[in-house]
Amino acid sequence: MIYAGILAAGLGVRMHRLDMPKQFLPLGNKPIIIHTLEQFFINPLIGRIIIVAPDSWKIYTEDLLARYDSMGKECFVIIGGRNKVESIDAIVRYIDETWGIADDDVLIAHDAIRPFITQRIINDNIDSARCYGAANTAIMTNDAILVSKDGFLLDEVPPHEIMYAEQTPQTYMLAMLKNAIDKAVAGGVKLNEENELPRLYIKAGNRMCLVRGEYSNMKIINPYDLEVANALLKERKV
Amino acid sequence: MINRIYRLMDTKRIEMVLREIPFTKGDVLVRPDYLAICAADRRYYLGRRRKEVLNRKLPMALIHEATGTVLHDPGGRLKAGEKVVLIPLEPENGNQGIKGNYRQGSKFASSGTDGFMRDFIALPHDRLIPVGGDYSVIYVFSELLSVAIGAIQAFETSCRIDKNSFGVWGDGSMGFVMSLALRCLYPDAKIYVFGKTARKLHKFSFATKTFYIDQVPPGLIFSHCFECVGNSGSEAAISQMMELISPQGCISLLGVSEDSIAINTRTVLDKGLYLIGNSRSDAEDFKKAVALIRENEICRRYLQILISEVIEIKTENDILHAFEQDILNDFKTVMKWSI
Repeated sequence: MIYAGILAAGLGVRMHRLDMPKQFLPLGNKPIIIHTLEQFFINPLIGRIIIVAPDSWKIYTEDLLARYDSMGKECFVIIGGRNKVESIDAIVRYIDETWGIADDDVLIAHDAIRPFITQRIINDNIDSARCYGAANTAIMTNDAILVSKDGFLLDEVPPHEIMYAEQTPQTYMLAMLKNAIDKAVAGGVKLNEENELPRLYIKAGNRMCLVRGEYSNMKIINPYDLEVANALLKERKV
Repeated sequence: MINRIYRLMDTKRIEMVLREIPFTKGDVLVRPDYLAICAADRRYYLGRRRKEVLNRKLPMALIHEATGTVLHDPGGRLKAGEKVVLIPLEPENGNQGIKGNYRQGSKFASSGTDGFMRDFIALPHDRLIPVGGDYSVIYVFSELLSVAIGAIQAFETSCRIDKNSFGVWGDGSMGFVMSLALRCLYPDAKIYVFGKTARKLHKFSFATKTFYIDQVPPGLIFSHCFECVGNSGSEAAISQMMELISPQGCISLLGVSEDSIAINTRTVLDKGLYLIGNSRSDAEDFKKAVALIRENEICRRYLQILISEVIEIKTENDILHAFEQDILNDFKTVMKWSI
């Protein structure tokens, strides 16, 4: 079974719209999260979809889902954690408790606020996770990356050619992911303090390969991003 | 739903645009599997259309030969995962006495409206033909075959003499498919193919005989012929056909030419010839084409030979690569759509 985990537990503080988390704001004619979900609804490899929502927005998410055609896909809304790692952990636990985890189960976790995901990225993630155990979506950075520990003095300029920007999906063989999380927690790691699941995962001795993302697979975080995303959908003269 | 459309913006410039699919209630959602490049697509890509045509039609997604997989049919008539051939013609609901592909208000994918180079395509149920169990890349040639079948149907309605021998002019993909359709539908007839290029003519192994256009033996005669040359070569081809064809034979025209072609009407009158124009095809032609591929092993085997190259498409650069390769290929370039 291939599960899609849609990460929609953020409250959208950077969007400056405190009345509604950003994943529920309209993009074109639909909420952002619905555009994202539709790409998973239509992918024939995806079996079930689990959406992590903020506690206070769970019921709203369920109402929203009921208004759109899920094209036969089973969807479940659960309450997310304080960060992405806790939210993915919540999905893993929900799957384990509800259906159990089989050896060939796959979880493809994707940000609700990246509605421009492509079928190629979804398919490449699943193929790569099946081959290598886990996959992460990345693009070459257009800008050089600078490292500064205090935000004032430059400490390091890593070589540009080995720098990638992380996108989502992140995709895991579920059993291996559960093992890695259990191991980390047993070793004293607090999931709410670890913001990067891939770091935790490879620290446990696992391999994770990179899948080519797309520059258009952008994250809609602030009002500028939303304006760009809306502009991308509009017909324009060349 | 957000869709990606890969449009030709200008000569040799294809760019992806993001658009919400205008999802008409009841439309079937399809993901393309195989897309074949046609000579018309190549002409647009290379800018070999009149400037005013390019100005009017671009930006536009190319490709009108496609197969795909059904993702969702809200009407439940097609199952998710079912393989289908896509029909590029959107017929005008006008005079039903005129075939859909000749009604002047009909629309055609990749000629005025976006073609099939998109992540998804939403089409009405009646523009999809289910393929059945033995799905393979060759079904992408259903459109080309449907044009040949449409031409044969039109020929049948005008034919007054025997159907024992045919001449086909053109050693390209249309000539190949036209000759093959004749071979399948008139198995006992003589089929002569006329062309210019040895390596292309060698592929017509199912023909009775192939000839170079400048080495036609004296005394050769046949009942009907099909012109699949197009462009500047059309004029010489039609002239040669009129010389060799039997009186009261049919000349079916399929080659597209940008320029006006001179035709010796004196010979047309003297021999009482029938000139039949053919362009595109309708849903009925498509159904017959798909059935022919499904049921006729000869057709299936020879269509395999028509493939020059299959290129997997994962990026926009791969699309450009496929169009550039197509310029070099003798026959069909097929894009395996994994983008």
